[in-house]
Amino acid sequence: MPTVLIVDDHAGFRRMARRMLEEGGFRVVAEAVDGAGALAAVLEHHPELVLLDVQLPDLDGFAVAEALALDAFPPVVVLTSSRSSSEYGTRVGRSPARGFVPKADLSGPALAELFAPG
Amino acid sequence: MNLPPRARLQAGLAVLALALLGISARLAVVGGGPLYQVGKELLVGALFVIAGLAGWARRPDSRTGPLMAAAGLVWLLARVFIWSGTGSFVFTVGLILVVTPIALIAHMAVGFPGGRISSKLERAIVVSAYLVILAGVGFLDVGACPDCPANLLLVGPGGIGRWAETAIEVATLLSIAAFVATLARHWLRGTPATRRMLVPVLPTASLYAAISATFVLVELGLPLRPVKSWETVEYIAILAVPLAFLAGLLRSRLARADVGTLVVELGEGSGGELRGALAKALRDPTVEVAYWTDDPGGYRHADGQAMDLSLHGQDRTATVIERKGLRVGALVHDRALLDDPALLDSVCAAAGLALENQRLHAEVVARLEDVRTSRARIVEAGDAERQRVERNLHDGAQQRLVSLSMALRMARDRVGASGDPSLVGLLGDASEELNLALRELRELAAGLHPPILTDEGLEAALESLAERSAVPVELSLGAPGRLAAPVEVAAYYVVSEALANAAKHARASHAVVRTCRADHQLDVEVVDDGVGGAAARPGSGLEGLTDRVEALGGTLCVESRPGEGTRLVAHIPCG
Repeated sequence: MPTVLIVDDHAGFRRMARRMLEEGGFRVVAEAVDGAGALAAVLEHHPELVLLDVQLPDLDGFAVAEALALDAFPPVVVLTSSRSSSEYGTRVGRSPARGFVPKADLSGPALAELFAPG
Repeated sequence: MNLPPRARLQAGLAVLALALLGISARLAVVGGGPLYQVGKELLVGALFVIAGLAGWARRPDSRTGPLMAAAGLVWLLARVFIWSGTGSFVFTVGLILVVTPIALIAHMAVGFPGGRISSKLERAIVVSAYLVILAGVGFLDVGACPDCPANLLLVGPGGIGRWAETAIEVATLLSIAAFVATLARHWLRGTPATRRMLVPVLPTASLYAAISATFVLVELGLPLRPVKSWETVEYIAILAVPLAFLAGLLRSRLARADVGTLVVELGEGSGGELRGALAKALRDPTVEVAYWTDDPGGYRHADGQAMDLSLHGQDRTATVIERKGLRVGALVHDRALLDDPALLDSVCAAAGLALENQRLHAEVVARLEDVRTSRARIVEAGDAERQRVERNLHDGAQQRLVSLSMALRMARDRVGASGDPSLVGLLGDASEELNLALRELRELAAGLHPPILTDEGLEAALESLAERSAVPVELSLGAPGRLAAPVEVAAYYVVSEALANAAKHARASHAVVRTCRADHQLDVEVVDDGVGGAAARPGSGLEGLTDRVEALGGTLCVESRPGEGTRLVAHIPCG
């Protein structure tokens, strides 16, 4: 079962995402509320997937994704936001993250598709 | 008649002059004098009285008018005495009166234009003129004629003798020379305003002095033939004297017409020309304008430097300019202008108007600057508020609705597995409706304030905007880096509004967005190939854009002829 770290500063979203991912066949190993917490949790839990909100109180999701990409065995990063990816211009495309899923379209299968394409 | 005392005095003197004219004419006719000669004599006196009263009336502040009128009256009175034929005493008084006007003319010329004798030297010259003239009656046989009564004052050849006569004649010559020198000194030292008034006086007085000197020189035995025509010249010279003095007095009065021009010139604006226009109107190139400031109280030059009104030469003085009872400034000018208070008053009134206009103009400029900055502040405050609302929406309602949408989708999936199709349908509809609400909310939030603008700057925000635009957009961006937030926001909204219009109203198929930053200015251009016809109508988005750009000191130009597409160009100062 793939392990997941959920990073979002909204408790409501984290709770809902945990349920949704666990139903979708993921194991949520940790949650983080900000960028620094996310980096620490990755070091500690070595998740295979990080569901990363773009808007965080300290670093933004793009910066966290870039930091994680420097890791020797980087986790797969999927960005998410209540905004659409076009509202971030070309930043999503330039980011080392594997993909972007709007929160409104988030589902276990959508994430599974990005995590293990094909 | 309810006349002021001075006018009554002048009227009285005019009546007296008429009476003297009548009496002397009557005496002359009875005495059998040649009418032509009598007329010539009386004309001189009458002219002095008329010119004197006219000058007095127009320039009541100057003593020249009264002195001239006095000379005329004495002239006429002298004829009454001389022609009365009632004995030696009356005749002798008449002789004194005959020569007195010459001293009065000298007095008038030395004191011209104010009529006041200002220095001891001038007083000495005037006093010596009176003494020499009176001495002439005693020692020179000025009134000698075969049929005349005796000159009681005459000290005959048997008395003091030829030496005294020569001494008096030399004193007369010296007196005339001093008189001419005084006039020359007035001219040389005079300010332009004084010289203007001296123009008619100087040659006339000099001519009269020269003629008088010539007669004295002949008496002294110089080989000058007393040509008959000299008497004609003397007569013309004495006639010219009152006219010249009156003309001199009126010259400043004639300048009054320039005040009208001054008012027009000042009304036409150009505040910097105030000094020049005043100098022209007052004919005083040295005139200076002092501006009064209340805080701190004091006079200043046009450049703001403090100005001490007491620091000016002896020939200059300051006149305070008031407007509606309040001090607005002062003119530092030629002292001679004090002789024409009416001219000074009207020029000061015009200058007061101009100074007040300048003050009001400065106030308007300052207020305009206040309005401009407050307008920029209002736009900035509006932007900050929009940004705050966007963030609140994003962090609050939007997040909760996203979680709700996820819960609904999960519920639908679970129910779907166990059955009850109507509940699956209901949950599916609810989820779809919620997603539509979320999209609308997201668009509303993005319209309020695009977070990418704050996070990434104008170029990233414009790229995002182009990507989301309903009309295909070609970008040509030449303003990398960050700009002041209000500038970025304004530029963003210009492009956003233009692209929205291109899609919504212009039905364009293509749009080009260009930015360029040069010379502390950001240029933003959006061109589309739509139907055109756009204008910044009241209440339109374009009007709002114009306000936003102008609040930053920029300009927005809309070219949109029907059928020729739309071109929006904004120039925004960006430090």
